[in-house]
Amino acid sequence: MTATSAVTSMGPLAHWRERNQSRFENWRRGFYRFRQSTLSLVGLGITLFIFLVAVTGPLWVPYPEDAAGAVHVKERFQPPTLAHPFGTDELGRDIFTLVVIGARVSLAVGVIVLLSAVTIGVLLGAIAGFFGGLVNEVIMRLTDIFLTVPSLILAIAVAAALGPSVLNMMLAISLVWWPGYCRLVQAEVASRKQDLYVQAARAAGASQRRIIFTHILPNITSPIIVKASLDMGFAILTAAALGFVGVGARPPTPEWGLMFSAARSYVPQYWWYPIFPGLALFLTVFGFNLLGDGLRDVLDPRAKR
Amino acid sequence: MSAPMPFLLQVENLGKYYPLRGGFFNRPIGVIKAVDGVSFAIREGSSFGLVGESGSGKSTIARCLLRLEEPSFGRIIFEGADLLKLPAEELRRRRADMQIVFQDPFASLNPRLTVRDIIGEPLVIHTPLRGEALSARVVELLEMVGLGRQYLYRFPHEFSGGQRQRIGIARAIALNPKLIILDEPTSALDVSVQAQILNLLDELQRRLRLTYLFISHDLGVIRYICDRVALIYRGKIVEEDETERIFTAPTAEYTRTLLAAMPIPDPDYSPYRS
Ligand SMILES: Nc1ncnc2c1ncn2[C@@H]1O[C@H](COP(=O)(O)OP(=O)(O)OP(=O)(O)O)[C@@H](O)[C@H]1O
Ligand SMILES: [Mg+2]
Repeated sequence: MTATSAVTSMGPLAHWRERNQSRFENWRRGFYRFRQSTLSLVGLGITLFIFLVAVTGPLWVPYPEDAAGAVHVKERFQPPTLAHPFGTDELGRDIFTLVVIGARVSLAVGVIVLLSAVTIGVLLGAIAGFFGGLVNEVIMRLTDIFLTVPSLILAIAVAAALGPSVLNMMLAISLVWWPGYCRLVQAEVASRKQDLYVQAARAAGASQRRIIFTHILPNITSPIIVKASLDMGFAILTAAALGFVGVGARPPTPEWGLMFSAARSYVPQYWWYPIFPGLALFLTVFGFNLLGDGLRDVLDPRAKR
Repeated sequence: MSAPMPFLLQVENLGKYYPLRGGFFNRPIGVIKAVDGVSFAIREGSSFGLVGESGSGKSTIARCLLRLEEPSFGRIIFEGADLLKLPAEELRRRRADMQIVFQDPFASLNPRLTVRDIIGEPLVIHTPLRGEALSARVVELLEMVGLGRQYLYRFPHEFSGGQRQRIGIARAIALNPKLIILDEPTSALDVSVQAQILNLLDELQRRLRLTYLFISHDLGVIRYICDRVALIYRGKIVEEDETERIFTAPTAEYTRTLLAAMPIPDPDYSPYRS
């Protein structure tokens, strides 16, 4: 029997299954390890729930017009009831609706900020780590400068300079978020570059592009994913902080930090106003942190705390 | 055999110095002479042994030959052309004729790639083979090293050390190279597995008319594989001769020390005996 017939004698489905059998087995084992920890499952549950709420929210919130800036003065400061499960705010808007729609804003900010920070960080870090020398020095010193300034203060300064808006807030947070990834990726790439399988690829005549994209980057995705999932909560928290101090989202955008800030002057009498956006924020940050910890145990077992 | 085979590889006065840095501002404060003026030549179809203790510069020579490292000086003449003077594109093509098997089979295979992609990589780089044709060639190579097609889509972590080394060997012979550098290919393996791998290497050499540069610090292994041996000490070759002469009539003091440190060879023991 020749090799060729052995490869082609299968149906396409059987062939596909054979090709991916080991990959599935890896995933199964990873999921098994993830399942071992109840907290990671809770984290996964929370984040999935929040994503679901964010995606489907506009379809079922009770007062969609409230999120768009409607005002019902007669309804102001209603305590939680069946009609308004989280109560209403100083403009009579339904806080439940605002919190649900606010999840969209927060998640969108978190995802976009991390995507841009990871993209910039991976690109610069990979260039610095792979080519070394002067390029490395320039990129890493720049990174160090960013890292020495407290990120929240820098983000506030940048956002204030750009003017308050969701877009500028995302720009500001991305700008302070990439250096962490740059440093992580630079160190990983520089050490993977010495790995024997990279030397083997070079000996086989592989191009630099092939070495970076086939051999180095796939082997450093785990720490990047772990860091990103841990950072997601903090990016959202930072966005809320910018909203809180008035350099982030602007009214009537239903943003949690902004709502929390507006509620300041009405506590303790109207306690439900800050409580629910605050809880939503807490739950989100908590969920992403648990998820990140769980992912680290699966993807990066050596880095266990 | 009448006339001696021509030389496939000639190394002339090869050197590799690393700057030794230290003190304030990481200034260069000296050099490490990892390889210091080494010359040897390997005939087509033969096995040439390079023996020396840890840190004597063996792997550095291998890396210089493969141009993974720029030698500080010297000439490397491979198939009649000076490798250090070849333009980049020509060098890339020549690389197909010189391959390496590394010592550590756990580190030398990319953990994210399947066996097909690992063994197929040199083929993808140097040939137009793709898809089914590539798979077929990889299966052929797997069978040559004693593994089967059922391993095609497995990942490295699913294999034992010996099996991984077979995968590394399959990758090295994928392009029908002329010269294979074996950098301590068995020293990370159990003794019983070592014998199997040595058998495989011997069989492949005869079948594919390969030339071996066999690096080791194990004189016993060298004795069974190599026609000629060079002993290297601190970056310099101290003795080079036919294997039997080295073992029966060593001239250099270093050789005698090494031989004395060797476990008494059992004359009945041969890794080629099954
Ligand atoms: N990149 C480098 N920078 C500085 N020194 C190096 C570098 N690579 C190797 N050396 C030094 O060169 C010398 C020779 O190293 P090499 O790896 O060639 O030894 P070896 O004979 O292969 O040893 P082993 O049997 O342990 O594999 C060592 O002293 C080592 O410390
Ligand atoms: Mg070595």
